[in-house]
Amino acid sequence: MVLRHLAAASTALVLAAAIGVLAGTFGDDQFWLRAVVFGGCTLAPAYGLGWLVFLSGHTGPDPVARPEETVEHDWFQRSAAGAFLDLVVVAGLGATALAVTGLRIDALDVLTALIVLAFADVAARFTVLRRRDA
Amino acid sequence: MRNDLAARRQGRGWSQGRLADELGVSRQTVISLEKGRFDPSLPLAFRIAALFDCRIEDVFTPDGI
Repeated sequence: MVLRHLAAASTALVLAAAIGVLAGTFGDDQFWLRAVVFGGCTLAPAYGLGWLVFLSGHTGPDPVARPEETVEHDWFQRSAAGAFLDLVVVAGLGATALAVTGLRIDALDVLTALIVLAFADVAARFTVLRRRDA
Repeated sequence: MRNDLAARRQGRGWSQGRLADELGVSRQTVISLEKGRFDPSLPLAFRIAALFDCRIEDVFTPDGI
């Protein structure tokens, strides 16, 4: 288990460092500032990836034998499906609004907003289902 | 879908956690099953029936019947 924690932490450090170096390289100036900021900001998500790869399924006292048949899995599937349709609707309405008004928005802002919306949507739907069906 | 899972479980003196372990699912799944708020997959329904040594339709009754 210690090795798995080390592997997850190493994954986080290597990935965050790589992203930091890439960000610094593609910037026009202030290599180290960009590298440190991007590396620092991506450290936690990178550790999440390491945890998913090396530790997920090996933590907790007794993971269930068939997680795909649990009610929690059903809630997540329904939440994700609902959130996907919400994203399509929001993207469609947004594209229509931009086409009509002629406004131009930075793609990074739009993608960030869509990711945040997706996370919030799934979390809200999951919470509602859990409270209603539990 | 209605079911008599709780009665069968209590008949054996099992807790919801014990039944969940036997079925390989979470305790919350057993709770939702017993309340009739979660319809099990076909493989899970077969395991439930096998565990209580009966047929699926002995445990589960579709709504409206």
